[in-house]
Amino acid sequence: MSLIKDKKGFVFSLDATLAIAVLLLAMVGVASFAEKPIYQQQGYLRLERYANDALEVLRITGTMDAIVNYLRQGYPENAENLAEIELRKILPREIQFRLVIGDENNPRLDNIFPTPGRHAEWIAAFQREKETAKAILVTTLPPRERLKVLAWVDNNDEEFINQLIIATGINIKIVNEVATFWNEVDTAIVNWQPGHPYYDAVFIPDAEVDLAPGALATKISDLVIYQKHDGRVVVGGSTLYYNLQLAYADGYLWESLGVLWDPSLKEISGPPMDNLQITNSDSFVTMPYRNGDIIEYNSSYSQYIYTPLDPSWVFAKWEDVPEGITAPLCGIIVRPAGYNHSWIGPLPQPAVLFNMRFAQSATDAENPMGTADWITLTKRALGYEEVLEEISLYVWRGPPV
Amino acid sequence: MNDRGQVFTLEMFFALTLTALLVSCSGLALEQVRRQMDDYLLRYSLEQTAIKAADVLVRTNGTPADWWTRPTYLETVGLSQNGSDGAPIPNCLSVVKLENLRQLCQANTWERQPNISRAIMGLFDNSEKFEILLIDENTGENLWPPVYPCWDIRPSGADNSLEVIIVKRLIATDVRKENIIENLVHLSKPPYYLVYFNVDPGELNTRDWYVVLTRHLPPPPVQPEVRIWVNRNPPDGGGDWDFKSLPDVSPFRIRYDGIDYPDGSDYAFPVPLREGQNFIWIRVSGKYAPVDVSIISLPRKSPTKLVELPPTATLVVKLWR
Repeated sequence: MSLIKDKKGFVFSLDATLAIAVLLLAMVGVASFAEKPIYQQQGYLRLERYANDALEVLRITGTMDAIVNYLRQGYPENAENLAEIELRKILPREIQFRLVIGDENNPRLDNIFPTPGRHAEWIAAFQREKETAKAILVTTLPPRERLKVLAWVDNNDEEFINQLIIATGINIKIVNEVATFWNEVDTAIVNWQPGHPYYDAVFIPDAEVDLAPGALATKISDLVIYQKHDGRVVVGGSTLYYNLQLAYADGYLWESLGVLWDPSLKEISGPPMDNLQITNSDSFVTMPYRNGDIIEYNSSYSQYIYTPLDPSWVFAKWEDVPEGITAPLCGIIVRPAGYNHSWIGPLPQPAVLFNMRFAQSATDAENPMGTADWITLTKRALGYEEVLEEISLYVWRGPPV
Repeated sequence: MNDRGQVFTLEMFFALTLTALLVSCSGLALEQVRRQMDDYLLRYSLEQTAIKAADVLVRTNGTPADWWTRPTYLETVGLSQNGSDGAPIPNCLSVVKLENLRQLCQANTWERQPNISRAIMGLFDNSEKFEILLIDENTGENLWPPVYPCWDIRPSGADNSLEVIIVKRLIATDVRKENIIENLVHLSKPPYYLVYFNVDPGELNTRDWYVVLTRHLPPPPVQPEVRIWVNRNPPDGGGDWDFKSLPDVSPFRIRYDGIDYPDGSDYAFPVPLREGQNFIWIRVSGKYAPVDVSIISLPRKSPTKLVELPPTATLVVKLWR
């Protein structure tokens, strides 16, 4: 059809209508595009800043430490309450939050919301929300399983044990009677499940008694049987000095701790032995330290002259020793896991011998020395190892549930 | 066939009218969009300036790092607290620096020392239309007097502006509540309470230590009577106290600027603070009115009035055209 033949106007043609519609659409699109992104972007950035600031403030004020400490001590409800109160205090009312402590696929605590309870409703509100901002803090958290330890405590060791509990939250059964001690060791042996010891460790920081007197003389070897049953033994101070009578009982314990039995063990003390030196940080006990690091020690407490079964098991030494003593003197001996004991065969867990009265040095009433270091070394010897995990804070705008 | 010309036909007139309408509408729409875009961009740049200013304030020491002790050298303002290594502690606000900034914004300094006012305005894109507030987020209460140019002679102007950008940052004030015991009341016999607090290694001489009483009676707050013993047990009868309110007035300074009991009072048996665990004994007697007792620590040599600040707050930066 030609234009000459078609004399009607074509102002309202379908083509023109379509063209105008497309033009209008384009204009509306441009206008709305120009309007929205700035506010959306700023709003999100504000949320993100709230999240980052809030985590930073919790860290600076020590609140995060207190929250983690509650978890360490086994009080997750207190951790939850404290986190909720503090976050509510610092974040504006219109900002809601969710705090997750630990790996998000397997969190330690994930029910921290602006109000206590109603967790299902809060989780639903969180999942409904389209715009959430997240901040992450990486920190050390206590091990997931609380260690269970049997500890022999006598003569002024209590303060050290108290400090160890405060620092780690380890579940410690304290005994100071010989009969009770062996009852507990026997209970651990009887109730052993492969891979699941009844007590994770037996800790004797500084026994100043014969643990197996008289008729109980051979009982000391039960500590080796306990080690055969996935147990770990950590011994220090004068324990072996007071337990060295029988080759076929005390001697077995000595061997399990990585040293040659010596019924005439020599005791020494005094300067210059006031600084223990880490000589090998390649063990689970000394790992946080560097070779050459010094651990302060109160030299008024004794050490002993041990002969290690293998010199490579010695991870800390005294290089400077009193006259007449052959240097170096063993400081920390770590008998490795899997050692084939001459009496009973392979011992699955390692054992640690501290050749010093570290508990006494750390908590000496007049002159405590190296307290934090001795706590660190002890908790690692017992198998307490903190792990790096995330703490995640989500925030969003919206009404409270 | 109709051969007449069609130049001024009705259809042509409609077509021209419609085209003109469409063109003018499009022009208006485009103009509107352009204006909106300009507005948005201005607002965006204002917002960016406010965000950056707030960031610099809460995360840096400023330049030079000790600008608040020699303001004539001021290049950039920063309000964060210095760490032990001199590096800024992000989100940890030094209220002392904030107060110094406020003093620099006084009309006298602001108008007579242009190098200082220029340096401060540099943070806000060379504008003097800014205001800095420290507030309690939950109550909205101002925790510190507002900071803006010439605050001593005129209002800030934020209230009269149509468009004010507000950026909030959460901060710690570095006022540490080491421990608190609340709602102590004298019942049948004046009770004694024991409160522990810890002085971390190195903090004995880097922080000041106070005991603060908060009474819940209307003024004058004289009841109940509170006696405090630091690091020692109260003697029988409750005498020989280290602090007694009244006549002493809270906050009590246990240690200030590295000196124990610096007020020079005649304490019976003063025991200094020490690193590690410390304690106070509290005896409450008098009316049955509750009192809170808290142990507060501040960075060394901070003004004593800072003990009233909460440990956390919100820094608000306002900026307008």
